[in-house]
Amino acid sequence: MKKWVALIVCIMMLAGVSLAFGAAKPKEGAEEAKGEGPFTLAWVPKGLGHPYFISCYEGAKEAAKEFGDKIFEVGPDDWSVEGQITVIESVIDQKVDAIGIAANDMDALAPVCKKAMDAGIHVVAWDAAVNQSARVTFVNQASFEGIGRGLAAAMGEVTGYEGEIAVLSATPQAPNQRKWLAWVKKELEDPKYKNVTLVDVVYGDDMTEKSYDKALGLIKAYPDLKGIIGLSAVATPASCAAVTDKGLIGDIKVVGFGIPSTMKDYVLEGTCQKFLLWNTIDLGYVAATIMHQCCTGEFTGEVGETVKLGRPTLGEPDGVYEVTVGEDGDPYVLLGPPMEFDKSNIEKWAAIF
Amino acid sequence: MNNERYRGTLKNLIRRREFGIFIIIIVVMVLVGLRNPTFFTSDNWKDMLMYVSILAFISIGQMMTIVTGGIDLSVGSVVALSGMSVGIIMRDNPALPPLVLILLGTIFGLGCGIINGLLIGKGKVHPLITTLATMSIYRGLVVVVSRSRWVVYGDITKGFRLIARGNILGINNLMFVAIIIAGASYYFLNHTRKGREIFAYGDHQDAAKFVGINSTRINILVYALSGMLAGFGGVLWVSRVHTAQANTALGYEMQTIASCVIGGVSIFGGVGSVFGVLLGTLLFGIILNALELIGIVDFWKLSVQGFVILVAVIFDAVLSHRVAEQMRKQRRVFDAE
Amino acid sequence: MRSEKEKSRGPSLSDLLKSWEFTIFALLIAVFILNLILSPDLFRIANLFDATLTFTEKSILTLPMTLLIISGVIDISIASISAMSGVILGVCYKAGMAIGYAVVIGLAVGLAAGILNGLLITRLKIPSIVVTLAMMLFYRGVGYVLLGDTAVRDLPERFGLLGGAYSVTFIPIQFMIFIILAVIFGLVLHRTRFGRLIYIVGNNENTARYSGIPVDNIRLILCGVTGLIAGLSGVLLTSRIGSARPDIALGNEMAVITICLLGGVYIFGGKGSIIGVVIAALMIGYVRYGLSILNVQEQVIRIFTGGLLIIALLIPTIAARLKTPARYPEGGV
Repeated sequence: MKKWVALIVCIMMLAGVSLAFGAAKPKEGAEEAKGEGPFTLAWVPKGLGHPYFISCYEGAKEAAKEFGDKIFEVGPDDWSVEGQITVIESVIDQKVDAIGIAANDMDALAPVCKKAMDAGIHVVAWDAAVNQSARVTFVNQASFEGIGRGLAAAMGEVTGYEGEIAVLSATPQAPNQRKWLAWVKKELEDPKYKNVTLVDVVYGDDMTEKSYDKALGLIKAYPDLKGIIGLSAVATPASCAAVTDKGLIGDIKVVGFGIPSTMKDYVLEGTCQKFLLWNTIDLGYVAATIMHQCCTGEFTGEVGETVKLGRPTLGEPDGVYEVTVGEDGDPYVLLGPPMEFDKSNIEKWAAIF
Repeated sequence: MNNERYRGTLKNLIRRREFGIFIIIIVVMVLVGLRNPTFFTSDNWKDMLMYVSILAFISIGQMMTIVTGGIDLSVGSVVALSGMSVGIIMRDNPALPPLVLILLGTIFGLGCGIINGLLIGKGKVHPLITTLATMSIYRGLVVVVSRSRWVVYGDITKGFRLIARGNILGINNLMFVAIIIAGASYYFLNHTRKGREIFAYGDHQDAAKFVGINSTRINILVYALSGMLAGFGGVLWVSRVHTAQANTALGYEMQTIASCVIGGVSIFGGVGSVFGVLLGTLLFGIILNALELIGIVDFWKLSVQGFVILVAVIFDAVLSHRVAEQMRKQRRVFDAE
Repeated sequence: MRSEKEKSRGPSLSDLLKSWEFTIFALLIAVFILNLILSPDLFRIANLFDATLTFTEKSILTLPMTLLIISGVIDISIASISAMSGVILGVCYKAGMAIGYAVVIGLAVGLAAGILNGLLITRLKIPSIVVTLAMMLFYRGVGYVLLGDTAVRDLPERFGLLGGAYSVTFIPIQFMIFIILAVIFGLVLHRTRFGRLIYIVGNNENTARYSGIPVDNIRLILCGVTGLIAGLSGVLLTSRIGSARPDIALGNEMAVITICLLGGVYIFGGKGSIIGVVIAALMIGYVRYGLSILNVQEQVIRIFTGGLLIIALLIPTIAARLKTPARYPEGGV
């Protein structure tokens, strides 16, 4: 009996202490945009570890430094939906001013992003969007159509428009993956691809090792395979590694996205003839700038609004971006056209990122 | 007296068991081959054997811990930690010769294993709990060591790539290494005093103590060996897949345990053979390969793994239950205080 | 020699267990104080309860696991059962079933899985650690086979309320469920005959058998209950995330076992109390929460929980070693 009393007293003490601490510090800022910095920005990529997102963060840090904002990166180390939701919730509790998210799943992350918006935190999506209702805007690195058609066209070109090809994607639920894949397939419906067959689409979950295993699996399962399209910066080098290990350089062509530094050897060896990317540093820079401007109240995400950047980017030499309407009717900000890399420029860019 | 009788039965059991696994392997191979002849290509076998080789010698390490009545759940994490550490060192020092990197990885693994051994042998914490905890700790260290940056394709040097893909005497490096380690382990476990002590200890810990076998040293030894083999395997692993991530080899310990269980290692301790483990690993590898080739969707992999372990274990239980009962009864009588 | 009845009545002043619980409680207070120092504005009452959402799903599992481990059985397939239940719930809903029925099916699946485990352990006499190791892979696999890379997304909003909403002002529904279950399990373990039997079974299986106690049936029931609660955990998790997917609850089994062990449950059975486990659950929960709002990564947080486990277990074994020569039991759990 005495023990129970002691227990209850202890719990009340704990509660009391917490309340005391809580009451002592006034609630951090109003729910609306303060209008004045410095702001705290939370950068939430799909996951941690891969050079692609590391370089995006470099761009974001650049922007934050310009404005004197504080920025930190958090993300799920298992690249999972559940993990990302947990991260966002933790960030909401920390009462940051803005969140920049590359979503692992468009709909699954929507409720928690909405919760953030309701708490007065501005949510800006980049690289992979979250549902339109749960974000201020989305910075898209390239139009889905441009990418999808571009990749399919590149594949067609290097295989001479015939043969079996396959796609190695990241996660099946990632919004950008689905859209790109849809446009690849659309492009392949064009009559000039009538001799090209898409035999399979496999998912490597953006995990380097799993993507490699999946690529090997494709090569084994389809002995007449002529090309692999890597739909992410993880998938393409993985496919190249698989092709190299099997000694099939030249027999199986690889195109896709890749970061120059990881793709350099493969391009020079001829495993990959060309690959696309956008300037990831710019992507981070633009997204973080928009995040800042949301906090100051300058940006609200309306169609037609413009964003002025601190420096020009590859996509917009005058450094001004406009919110336009995308293919699915949702407003977004387009980074610019994708860049093509091949033997001619790989060395230069591999030194940059 | 009873001891000898059931020891003999146990030995017969193992022999029957290994033969049984062998038959199953043949049967599975035939079935898979019929379904997809690609199974028999040398290309396929090369890939599969590369995978199986690493699994084999790490499973041998696992076997040693299980034989003493313990278990090592931290092997997956040790593989990851050593692999990542070595990967980063390689990335920052591309001029280092691969052999140095291999040595480093092995030492890292040895360190992890010794920590396990000390906690279990000196700290007397149960192996299950210890390795459960160190599994998390080592796995967490992978992230800390890598500062959230994976080792990816651009980082791997040519020399490092060759660790897994080169050949010695015409056989792939990994297979060569596995054979050597298997041979050395066999010799160690069956023909050296320390090796026999391991079995004796696993068989009946109290009796072993009375014969002068130092339980602390035995534990430190087996877990150190297990860690060392895992560390070594980690370097080879990263070389094979050209990458090191935070979740490299996640869940790998289950595969080593499965291989041991299939190979006739008793979860109670005291029973097991290197040859059995090799066969068990091979069978496991073949099943994984078969799943790929038959076109069974990736997602069945987990269920099948679980199912296979279950079957092996039920088989084990049904066959050796009587013997285990005897073992337990023996000990009960002995322990009466 | 204290009677079994006294022992299972829960700790009393002269019991070693009690000193363990006080240690754990002191650690919990330490955790609170540390968090308050490191993140003062974040450790407020409303946030504290919010934080429980991150660990309640794991914590409810510690309750039946305590009973199970005390009885001498371990089940490491619980996380996989959670995932499987969540997936089957989603699949049923997608197939047109009303969400309420889907929830019931999810729970039933958990129960069935638990019973299956129990049968394999008790009827086939296979060590529980090995069986549940196999089933862990198997059940997780079922989830992947059913849903693969996809997820069932459009679960009804009112379902989401179960896992995410609040009942009394800021106390989440989930947490209320946890408290209620804790009370129930605590009463069963410490105040009923069944609870006393659990201790006896765990303490000395053979003696229990010879005394006519239905050891196997008791374990079977506990396995079933564990499975059921695992199913509940899966349902709650699915509700909170808002979609049914096969990759939830990864690693939960380790966290649950860690909490039980930290809570004073003896891995070989026969000792443990619900109070200790509840305190340990809160402690681990707040340690993780505190670290996560400091933006420490998930995988790194596991270093701390692993370390805590080792420290927690080194203390008593060192103490025990000073008294009697330590021994290993007969191999696996």
